[in-house]
Amino acid sequence: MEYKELNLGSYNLHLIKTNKFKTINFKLIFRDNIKKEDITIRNLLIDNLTFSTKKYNSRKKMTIKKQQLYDVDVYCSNKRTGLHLQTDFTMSMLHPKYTEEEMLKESIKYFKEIIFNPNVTDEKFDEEIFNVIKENNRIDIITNQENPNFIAVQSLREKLAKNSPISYIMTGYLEDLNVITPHTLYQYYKKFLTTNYIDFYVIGDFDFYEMEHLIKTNFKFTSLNKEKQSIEITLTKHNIYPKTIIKQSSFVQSNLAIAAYFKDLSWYEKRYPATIFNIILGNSPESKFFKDIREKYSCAYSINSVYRRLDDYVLINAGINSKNYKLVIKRIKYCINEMKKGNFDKELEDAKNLYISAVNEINESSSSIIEYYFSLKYLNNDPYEKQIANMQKVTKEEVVAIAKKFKLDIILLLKEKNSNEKNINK
Amino acid sequence: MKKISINNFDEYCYYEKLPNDLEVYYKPNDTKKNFTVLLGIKYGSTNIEYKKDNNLIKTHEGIAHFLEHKLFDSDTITPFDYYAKTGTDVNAYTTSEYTAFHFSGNNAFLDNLKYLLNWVTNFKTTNEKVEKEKGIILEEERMYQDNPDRILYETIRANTLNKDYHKTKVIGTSDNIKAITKEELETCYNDFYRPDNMFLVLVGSFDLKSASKIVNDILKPIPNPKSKIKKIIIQEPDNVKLTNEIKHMKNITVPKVAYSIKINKKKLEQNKLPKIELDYYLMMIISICFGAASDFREYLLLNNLINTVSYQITEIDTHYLIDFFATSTKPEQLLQELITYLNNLKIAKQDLERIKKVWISQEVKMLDNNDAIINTIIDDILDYGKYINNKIEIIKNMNYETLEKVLKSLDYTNTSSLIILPNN
Repeated sequence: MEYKELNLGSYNLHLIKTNKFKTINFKLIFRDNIKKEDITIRNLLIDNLTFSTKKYNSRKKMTIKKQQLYDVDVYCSNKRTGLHLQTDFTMSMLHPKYTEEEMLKESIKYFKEIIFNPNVTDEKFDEEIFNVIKENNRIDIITNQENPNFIAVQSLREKLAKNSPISYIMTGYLEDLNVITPHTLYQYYKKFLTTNYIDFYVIGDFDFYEMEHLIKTNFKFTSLNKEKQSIEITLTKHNIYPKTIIKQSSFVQSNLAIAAYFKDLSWYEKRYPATIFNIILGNSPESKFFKDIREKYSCAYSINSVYRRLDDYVLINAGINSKNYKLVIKRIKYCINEMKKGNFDKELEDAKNLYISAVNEINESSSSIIEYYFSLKYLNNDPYEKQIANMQKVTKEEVVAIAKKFKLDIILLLKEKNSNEKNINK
Repeated sequence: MKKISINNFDEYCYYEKLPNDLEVYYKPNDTKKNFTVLLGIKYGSTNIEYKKDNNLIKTHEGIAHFLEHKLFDSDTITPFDYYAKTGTDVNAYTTSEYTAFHFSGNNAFLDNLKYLLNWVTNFKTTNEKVEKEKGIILEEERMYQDNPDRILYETIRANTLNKDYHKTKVIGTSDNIKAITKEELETCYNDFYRPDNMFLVLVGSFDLKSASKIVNDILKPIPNPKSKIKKIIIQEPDNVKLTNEIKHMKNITVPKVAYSIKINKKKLEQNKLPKIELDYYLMMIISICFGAASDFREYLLLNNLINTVSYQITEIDTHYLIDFFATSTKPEQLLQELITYLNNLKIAKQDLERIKKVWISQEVKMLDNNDAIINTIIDDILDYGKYINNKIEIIKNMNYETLEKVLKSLDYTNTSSLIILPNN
């Protein structure tokens, strides 16, 4: 595998040459500092861009073209990465050696059409299509309320960091959606192309020179490509004793969401001992939580913890019966205490192996290779040889030290319908 | 061992049938450093009734899924603990048709393979462990009750079928789960987890010779029990159990719609096509008529009649079931439009040629993905009794005349519709 990075002024082009895959994949990444009011309009924008273009001015025509290009797969998503709002346009095409030679140029032209030739007339997105997508986005926003896990975790985030990006809802907000018009969306589109930081990744079996030429000639931006603010969030306000919140719901099962944090971790601790701590505590099928709360006490079908490093907190999440609430909290505290006591000799090596195995898996898919190169450059991660070496060196004492810095912050129970109030003990 | 060329590419898989009738497919891949292995048992949630030496045995709904959970019991080291040592993922799942145990990783392939084969071919549990598992499975069942899409699927299936056990939930009902015993689990294990009812699929980075040696060393000596197990073919009537239903659900915000068409296989067999070709023509019709490039989909979208939509074809012993699922703020109008459209289906020749291109492309892309290869081999084993290695040729040979003939043979007499509305 060969990697080449080119600074093209308005964007960085990353070419990764490998003959491991039958596809050539393209990923165009736009990043900006996240603002709450951008989320809804950005969602509407990418849905409009991928629904139709000036040349293929209906969903049907877009799909027919995609099928004619041997099922070239184009999709787009918005996500929050720490303090950044990130938009990824991805295209995956079958290598032309399996189809027709001109498919490379044709597919790139199709990708270009999506980005640069929106279905716009008189500075307005096509109104009929705009309204269809707007209605779909409205439904995406309201259907969040069908998901007990979403409600529990979102309520927790709002208690944890109200008004911070952590609490932002990535499906957007109805009040923002209601005021967007085809014209304001087009104004936003113009701003989007010029103010974001842009990276373009291509991975597959191609000629470096030819691919560089094809991308350069088809993708021209006027963005200044200034790096944005730091990506990592630091949470400073915490509860000394965990705060408990109980919310009533009409769901069948209760959902438990807990925010926890580490006090003052170094760069190294965040990436290595804290990651190992989290795997042992609740992020593997042999974790403390799984073995104790699921297997020993039969209190949950799934319980896990996720270390959101860029957001500076740990999310513990489980679906439970509220009659077991008190017991589950007691067992969670017991598991954390076991970590503090260093009772994880057997699990330590297994957790390292799990991590190393995941690192070795990176080279097995195009998308994870792109994510890896992105994380090297922008998330300040180590190269994988160093990640493996560092992980192998993590000691039990380091993990115990991390456990001692681990505190529960907020416990939120989204309580099921018909639950017996007397059984819920804070 | 038989070497099988895949679609005449320079890609091969290997097949062997052990003397005890256990079937094994190997698909080594030198460009990969990872692997996935799956041991499947042709025993799923629909095998509730069966004949053992001519005696009818009836078991509880959800028992195949319960048994899958209990296979993870161990007196020594559990599968999760074992595979964790090498950073290997391990898991299992149960469908209507089969149960699968699988691992994926990039380290210690042969040891992991040995463990899988010994693990699934031995079963030991206790009353205490069975009782404890009920708490976990009941929580899983409660979790599904909060999933409206799952409720939509399970309800339309129950409304479409009278007798066939696809009408039941894979997980079972809470009463059934509570009633399952250690003895019942042992009986089902002994009756279904037998070599002649199992298949093994290995894909990715491994040495063929060493893998085959382990497979033969461990699995070949396992005999089939003497008792004869016969799966029961349920004679499902043509009519649906419930034609229309409107129900309400507390936690949904947007109405959900399901529509199921039930077609007797005998009607479609009049086309005199090999089964795989018939299946491909059916899927082609649905893809063209309801896919994103269809006029109908465009019409529904532009008139805000759908927000999300999906379709699928399910095969039971006696019928094909064609299902549509959607979220829609105008559910009654959507159903009306769907029924009108179904009675006027037309297909253009260029649509067929275009979708053929898409399917051929998907056959090539699939070879990059271990899980996709495993899934296609499993589907073929269950649907056609063997891996079909010339799919591209079959796709290329599809023609417009036959497509029209199959389209005309579709019968929309027996249908069931379901709307789930928000409570208020």
